[in-house]
Amino acid sequence: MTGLGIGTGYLATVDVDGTQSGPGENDSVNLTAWINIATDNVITIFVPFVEMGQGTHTGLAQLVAEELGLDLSAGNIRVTHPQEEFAAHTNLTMFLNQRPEEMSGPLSWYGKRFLASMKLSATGASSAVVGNWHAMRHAGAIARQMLQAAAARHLDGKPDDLILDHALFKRADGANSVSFGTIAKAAAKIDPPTDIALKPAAEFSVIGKPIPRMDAAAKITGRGQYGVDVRLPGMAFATVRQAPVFGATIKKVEDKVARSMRGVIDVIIDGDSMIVVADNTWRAFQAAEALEIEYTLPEKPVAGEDFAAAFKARHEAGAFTQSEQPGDAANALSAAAKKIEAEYHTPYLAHATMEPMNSTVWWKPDDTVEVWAPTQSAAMARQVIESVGGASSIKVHVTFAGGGFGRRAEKNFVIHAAKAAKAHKGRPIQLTWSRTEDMQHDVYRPAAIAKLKAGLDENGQLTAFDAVIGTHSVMASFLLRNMDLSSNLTADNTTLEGIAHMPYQVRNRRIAAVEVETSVPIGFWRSVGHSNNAFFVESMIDECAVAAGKDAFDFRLAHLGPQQRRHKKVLETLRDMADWTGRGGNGRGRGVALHESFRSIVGAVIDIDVDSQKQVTLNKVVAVIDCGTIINPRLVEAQVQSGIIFGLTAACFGRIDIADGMVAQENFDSYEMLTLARAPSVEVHLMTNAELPGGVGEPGTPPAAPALANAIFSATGERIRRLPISEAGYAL
Amino acid sequence: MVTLTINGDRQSFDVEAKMPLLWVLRDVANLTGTKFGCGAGLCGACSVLVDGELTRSCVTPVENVEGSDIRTIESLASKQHLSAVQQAWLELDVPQCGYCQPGTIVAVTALLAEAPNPTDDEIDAAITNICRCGTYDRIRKGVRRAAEIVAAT
Repeated sequence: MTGLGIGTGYLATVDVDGTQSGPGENDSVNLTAWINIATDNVITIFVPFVEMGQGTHTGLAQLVAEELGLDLSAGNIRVTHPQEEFAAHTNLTMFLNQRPEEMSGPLSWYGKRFLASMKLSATGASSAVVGNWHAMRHAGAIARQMLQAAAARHLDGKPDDLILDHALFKRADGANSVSFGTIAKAAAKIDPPTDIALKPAAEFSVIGKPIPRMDAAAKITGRGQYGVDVRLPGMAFATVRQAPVFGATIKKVEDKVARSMRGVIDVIIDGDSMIVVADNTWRAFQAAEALEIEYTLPEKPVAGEDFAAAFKARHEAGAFTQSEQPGDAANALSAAAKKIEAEYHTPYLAHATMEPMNSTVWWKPDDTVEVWAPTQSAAMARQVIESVGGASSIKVHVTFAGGGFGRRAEKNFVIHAAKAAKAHKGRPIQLTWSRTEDMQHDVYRPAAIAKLKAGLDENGQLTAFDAVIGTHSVMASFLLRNMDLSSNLTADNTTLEGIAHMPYQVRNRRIAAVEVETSVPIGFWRSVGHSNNAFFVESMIDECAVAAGKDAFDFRLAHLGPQQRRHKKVLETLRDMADWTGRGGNGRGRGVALHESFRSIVGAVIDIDVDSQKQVTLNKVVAVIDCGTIINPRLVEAQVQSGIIFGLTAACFGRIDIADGMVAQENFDSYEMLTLARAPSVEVHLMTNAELPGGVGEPGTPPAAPALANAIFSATGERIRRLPISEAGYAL
Repeated sequence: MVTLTINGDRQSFDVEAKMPLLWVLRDVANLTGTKFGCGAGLCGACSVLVDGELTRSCVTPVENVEGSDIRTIESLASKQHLSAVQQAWLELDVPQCGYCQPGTIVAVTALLAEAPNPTDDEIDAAITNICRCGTYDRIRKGVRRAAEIVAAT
């Protein structure tokens, strides 16, 4: 850290820019924290977020490349997750729910300073681009100016007379040129500039372009390294068998047979789990199955239906933990010309990432520890090793992740490997969960119940909207499990996200939460609270439109005000793109839903057929997204398609049942997925504007379920108030 | 001892006859391109070709494939060239997390060997791999593009 830190004071060091320059590994230098240039002109862009399919290793690289003048398709560009763990300022948007650009004043300054003091790097909340829109471009611009100054000296010219042409500076008179690699070491000695002008949007040549994915070539050849693909010398392979009943403890284990099985190295009892270490994964799986385990069961094992009962009791007691209540919803409801009431239910859901939970830990004899994990948080992996105790240093390698969706923001897939590795110092241990373990020891999307009431006036306008959302707090479960923090239940913003501050203008509202405690582990699931609340709001709005005798689009548009011009445009565009006529029936149905989440707005229309046997065919989805400035249209399209298929999969099949304290589903036969034959085509239209960028990894998911439910109503006249749709007898 | 011919190489492995091919590939032969997804033949992430036949290696004991020609994702590209399916996948940016794609690419390779210009129904019937990222739209386009590339060569 030279120059800048002293020049502009502490704020710069805690800003999101990451300007630490200095020597790098293997004859290279770092120009800022995010760019490494080797003397052979290989340029590495560090993206401090895990690549789990969302395309962040391409999108964020584009931000750097825009300012650094790089052609990402050239063979000398690498993108990788950094080895170093960065302070949480890269996650400013995730933790403080603000754009860095919007922050100012002393409170923000202390907020940044506080975050920067913690190493809590994580990937989530569709926040990588939102939070680093300036930071990554700044990094590119700082590095470019340093290189330009060094190039000018090298070429004996003025910086302004140089032309930048992919990792090469040329003199305008054509006399000479020099590569980044040649001048990188000299550039690293130059004070980073403090006056950084970013390119105006009109000059973008990388941002906004459909740059091919930087990770695709590795992934289509089998070369890409996921967590399960890590191979180290002398590595052992392990698995874990956790108590199937939540809260159960091990009373007695008979492991003689397992220990005598071929290739078995060790059987370790760890709390309510059994760890089996062998010389390959299959032998570990076989031995884990051969263990005879007796458990002490909890006095009252949790059951799925406990939630509804507890909700009812708390609701009747008026135990609301949060509320938003402008106007007087109760009075407006009793004065309404028409009143609509409905109760909606959603189930627990598993993540079911394609790559099952796993991690690899190498605890060396000198107590230096290395971890390889497909994790959404290197910080969590580090904390696991710290909690085991005795490590003299910890290095976390973040691999590709075979899906994440919130599941990998957890500690529980690293702990058993860490313990086994400590017990077998010097031997790397890769521990992989079976699919059954993965499904039965997930952290689940919470079930939810919505009690909804709406009032319409004589003109069919909403005068009142009353919602009570019963669910489990994601944050409370997450914090207790991962950070040993017991959180105040009132603090969970995810519970009402997507229903509080809804875009529809209704003067009298009451939106309240009833949070129910549970021993079911609850976690972040793609779009989190929005995944439940969008279904509730957009289904209810559809019910209201029907009650008002209005078209679904007209009704929504009539409730959007001047502040919702972007929502309006999305709806109007969607109506055109989908050739909406509003007519359904006789088994042909179309449904619409609109939802804002993670600073982006997505509208979707789904077209379906339903036969007399309730057999559903998903024909086509048309979706429109407004995510502000688009970094890469191809990635945005892919994420919207992905989010919608994810949401439809859950709406069609998704349910985790808990009976006698354990999850009933085990694999993809009992927890079904949409496959190619049953998936609809998804056509995506991108709104173009100059707004700041929004997230794209999650916003496609929330509108999928309500659009489908509304389409079923349009086809059959039956309102879906309970997910999945199979609950009402619909099959695909 | 089990002797297998994997991607043209004949090798002997000191493993149980019942051990699934997937784990011999991944943990013994260190060919990690073939993925573990479900262990029950349900998701297709472990797909390989055995004598040209699409095979789910997680439920295939190695004793069943002794003497067969086993081809994994690692063998589809030559040193210089990607296969037609891989080229199509790259052109269309099919992968997201990419974990299921080796298995899907192998399945599409098998399909195109049988039906160089498959109908939608044939694609639906043949490609049953689960993709949790929901890349199905681009997989379908990728199959068509790969068929074009094959036809043009």
